[in-house]
Amino acid sequence: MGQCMSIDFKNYDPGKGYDELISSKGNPRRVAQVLCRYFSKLNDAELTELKQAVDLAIKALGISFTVYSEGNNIDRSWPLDLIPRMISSKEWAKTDRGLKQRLQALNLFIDDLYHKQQIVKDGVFPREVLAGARNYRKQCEGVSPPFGVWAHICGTDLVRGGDGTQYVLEDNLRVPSGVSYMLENRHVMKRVFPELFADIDILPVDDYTTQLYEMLVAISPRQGDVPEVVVLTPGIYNSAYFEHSYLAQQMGAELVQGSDLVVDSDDCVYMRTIYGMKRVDVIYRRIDDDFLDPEEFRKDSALGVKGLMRAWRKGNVAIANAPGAGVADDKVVYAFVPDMIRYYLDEEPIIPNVPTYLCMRDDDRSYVLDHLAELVIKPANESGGYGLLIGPHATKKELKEFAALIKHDPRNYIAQPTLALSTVPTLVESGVAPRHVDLRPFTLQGKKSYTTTGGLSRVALPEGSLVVNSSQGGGSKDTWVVDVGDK
Amino acid sequence: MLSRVAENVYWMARYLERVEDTARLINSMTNLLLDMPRDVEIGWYELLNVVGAEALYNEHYPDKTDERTVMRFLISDTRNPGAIVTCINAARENARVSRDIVPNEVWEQANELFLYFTENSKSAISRRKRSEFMSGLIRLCQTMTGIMMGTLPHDDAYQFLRIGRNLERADMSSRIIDMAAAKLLSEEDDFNPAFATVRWISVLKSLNAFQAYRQQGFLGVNGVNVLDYLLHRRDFPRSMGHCLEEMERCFSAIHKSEVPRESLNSLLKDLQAVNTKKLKRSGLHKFIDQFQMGVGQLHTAIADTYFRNQ
Repeated sequence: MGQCMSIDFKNYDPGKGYDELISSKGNPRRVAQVLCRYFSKLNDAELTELKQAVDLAIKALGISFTVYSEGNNIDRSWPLDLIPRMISSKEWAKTDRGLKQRLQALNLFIDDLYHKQQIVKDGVFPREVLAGARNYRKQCEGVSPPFGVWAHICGTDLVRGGDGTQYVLEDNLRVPSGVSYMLENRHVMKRVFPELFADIDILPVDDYTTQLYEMLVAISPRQGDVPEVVVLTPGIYNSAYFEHSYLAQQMGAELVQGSDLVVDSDDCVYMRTIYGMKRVDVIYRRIDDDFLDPEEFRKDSALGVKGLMRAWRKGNVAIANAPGAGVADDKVVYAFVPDMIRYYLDEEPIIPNVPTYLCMRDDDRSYVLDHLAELVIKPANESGGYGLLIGPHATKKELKEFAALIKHDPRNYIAQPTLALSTVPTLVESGVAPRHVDLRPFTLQGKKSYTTTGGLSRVALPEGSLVVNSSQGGGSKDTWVVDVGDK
Repeated sequence: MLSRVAENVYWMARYLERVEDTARLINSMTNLLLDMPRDVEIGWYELLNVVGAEALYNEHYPDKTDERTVMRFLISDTRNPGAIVTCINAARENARVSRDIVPNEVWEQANELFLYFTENSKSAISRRKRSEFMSGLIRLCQTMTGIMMGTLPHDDAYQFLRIGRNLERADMSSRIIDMAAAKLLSEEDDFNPAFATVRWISVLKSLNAFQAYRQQGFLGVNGVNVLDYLLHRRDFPRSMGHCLEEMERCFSAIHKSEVPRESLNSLLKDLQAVNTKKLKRSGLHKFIDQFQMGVGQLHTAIADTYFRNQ
């Protein structure tokens, strides 16, 4: 997009759905009033200049991401839209509580699964779901990580439906990514819009890496000493490499690859330094369980460290997220999270799930098969928007294929109604138009819990599209949690 | 510090220095050509000699020695591992994998260098805009080095950066001296002395040494003095002697440096033993050959001690 057209919020039509900034034609929501006034005053040239300033800052900062299918083109500039997504601090306080509640329940659940499996015995969580859980790791049974926490870092996908209700869409607790983009988006916006940050009370996001580091230090097996914390990356060809190096740098931790680490005969983990071997206490791993340790998982993994599981089970090293935590990152397990919250915490869920049909249940399955064209179908264990079917946008052939897939392996599929995701005004060729967004905040749990202020807002750029993944043409927005004084 | 990261940082500095040195070399050669009579055979091909890319070039262009082809090969041909483009990419990749320890500004600068090259390199093939382009490159490399020197704590990473830079620079200086001497020492007697002077000036300029050299108050620009300056001058940052002494200082700041220091000391001793007054063309060439082999041994000693020590 070369020249930008100035923004006319008076004629911006949020349509029938819920818009995060504009409640109805010409009426910005309270959180967005100052912002809308600011943007309305800009002419074509000024807006173009700001857009270019954002693009340039992203290029200069080297904020990039990688797309798997592009061969040796390993870099793409990160797409950031000029107009932020805004949330009132009052609403956020509730979301914050809901996210912490959810992660606490999930951690109690994972710890229970690898010990007594009381929730299964009590009939709250079906045994057949556990039996089909692809990410359940026998190797983890009986292990007790510090504070009973397995999922230390969780990226939760939140969406808002047409009536304004916020739902949890997914819990990502294997190796969730995106937090560095949240931080860098803010960095860029502060560079380009310093005056807006002076006029609006935007809550800061910068403390994430400090909180992350403190959490990692807290789970170190050698308390008292300054622990050696490392970030384990698969390397520069991974789509999230930018984030791995960013987080390591911000925490002052070493960024290591599997080949830098070795498990010695004392079952401790060491890294190869210029002066010889040095003991490692905490590993923030950014590679999947499957690749973690060729001794116990995939034998062909060149990314992992031989003997790592041994060291971890002996309590000589902490791994975040713990191996096996992915068992709760499963879209069928997801459907039971509200029950877990009631079961373990004796509380009502603060943020509801999106209504979910489990294809393993006969009633649900026949409903799903009859209404495929209205639903979103998701495989239980995929991430990044791969392998899902959006019924209303699917061809007859695709519908048929998915019907066959579901019948073949019902445990592996869930279905949800197509939500009219909320929108945010977004720059397009012809000016500004509503585009669908989601939100991924990050929650930490160690000795205590922490949630980012806001999160990463992802936006589906093509008109009407609901797919927000950057690997599939999605963009992003800075997320401003704003104090407007409504306590 | 991780062995792998130390190696990355070391190579980042080497590649960055190689970009800068190659840009200087091309600039001074382009300038020199303007001063030479048209019938004097100053081949662009010589440049390939200096950077050791002759064999590879001949493979791709067996019968071409024209300016544009040589320039394209040295500047933007990704098949040439010593081309500016290859070195910029390698420097950037090494910066990318060291992002957890190099300051953000360094990474921003590495990107800027990359973007500058991508956007402007076409113009450098022809002579008109080449000098401007090369000056821009040199400035960006210097900025990157400057940021690193001004912001990095003086820890191990800092020492590996300086070692990489000075090792590469010593090597490149020796190559430039070798090329100049090949023409000049043998031909000085029957060569038009005005042109000999111009060529020695050009050698000084390609190492950015002309101004510094003149300030020392030497009587004239002649082979003996220029060579002595570029080999031994301790306070000039691009003389071979200075580069070696810089590395000596780095090694004394890090642990376990006995083995690389042994290699370095033998290089220093040989360098000090060279008497430029008595030097004949063949003797100098032999010395430089040995020197470059010694630099290679020093690199191996560094790698064995710090990068693959387990």
